[in-house]
Amino acid sequence: MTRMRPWLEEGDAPPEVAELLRSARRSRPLDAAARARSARRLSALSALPAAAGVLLWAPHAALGAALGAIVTTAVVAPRILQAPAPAVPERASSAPSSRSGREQGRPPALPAPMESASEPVAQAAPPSSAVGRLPVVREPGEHDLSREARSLEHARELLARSPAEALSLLTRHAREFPDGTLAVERELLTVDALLRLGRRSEAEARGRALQGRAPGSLYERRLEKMLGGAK
Amino acid sequence: MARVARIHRFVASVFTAGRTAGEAPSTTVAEIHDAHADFVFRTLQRLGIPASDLEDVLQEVFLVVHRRLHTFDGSSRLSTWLYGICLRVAAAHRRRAYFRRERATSTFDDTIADEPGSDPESLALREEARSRLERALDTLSLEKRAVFVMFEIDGLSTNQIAEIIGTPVGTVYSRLSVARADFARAVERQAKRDGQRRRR
Repeated sequence: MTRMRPWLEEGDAPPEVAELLRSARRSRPLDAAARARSARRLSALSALPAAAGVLLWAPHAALGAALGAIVTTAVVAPRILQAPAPAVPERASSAPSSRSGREQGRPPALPAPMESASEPVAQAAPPSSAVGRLPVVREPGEHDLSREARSLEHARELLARSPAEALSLLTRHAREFPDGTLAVERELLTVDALLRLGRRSEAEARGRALQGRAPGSLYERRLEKMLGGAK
Repeated sequence: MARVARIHRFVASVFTAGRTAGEAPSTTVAEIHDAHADFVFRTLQRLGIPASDLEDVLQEVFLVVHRRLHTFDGSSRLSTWLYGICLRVAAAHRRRAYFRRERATSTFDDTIADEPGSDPESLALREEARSRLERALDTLSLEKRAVFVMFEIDGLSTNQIAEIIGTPVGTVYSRLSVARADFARAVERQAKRDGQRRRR
């Protein structure tokens, strides 16, 4: 096999092609500031479970449950909360998880956080507003998950210094992502925000409802701790 | 049975902190980011993600890594696995209609001003040529685009490219040949259209 050389070196590129290739700039590296930003966003994301519904199965394994119990829980869990499927095709070049998520049934959306005072909530502009008249087919893919996670990250950062603002953000999040992948995380943050605002009865109601949907999960223990500490 | 096995593998992976077969015992998403974020960033550029979207799409890729690390079994190189994720994320990005609208305004970042020959006329000519370059590259499939950019622009060898995309070197050669032909046709069509517009 004759070794290929870059087209410009071979000298037989058409003139217009050569002109364009000469104007090209090499891919630039990730600079230190962008790397740091990316690492920070990643560390915030990593604090969230990889997939809400799937991790509901983890405690059952920790208890050394039989494989049958894991299967049972795995069958039950998707009916409780949205669970992007970990059951991905074997090859690494598999379809994105959004497609496998859509193949499963989608459970009812969790309710939006209750507000003590109503406020107008601006709907997030869909991407189509950025493209003028072209219709945009939005797939619930990785782009949405990124936005969903970023929004939750922001809400969590606000919890300590401004739980009211965090709660408002969570309300908007629920409207924008009614069937979001991170609905459980949102609900947890909502319970936390309500507790911080002294709205204990609401927090307890939401917390118990979440526990009822996901008995024996990692979130159950976390909720017990949160609600127990509020008394 | 296969689904049960996958569930079992996933649950096991939760308690092994992202450890995967064939990888170092504690490979976490953060470690992968440390080692490969630059590679992912460059790959996304090679796949045509506009400068203005790069950081967001970089995070999308690592979101997928975060969610899918348990599926990586070490049967391919980690960089090949990451390349596959970049391909899928870039394909989704490309499908979204607004990508094409944003192309005209966000192809270039502000580093263009730091290049030699930065007088306004040179910059304008260079920007115009790069715009035509990007439009021609956008007509290629993502797989061909990536190979073409890696070889013709970034100067990677065919062996390096083969390792990245996880194919034999022969596949790189054939993909390159086809990409060159496609690129040349796209440039020719563009030149004709631009010539017709100027005559109006």
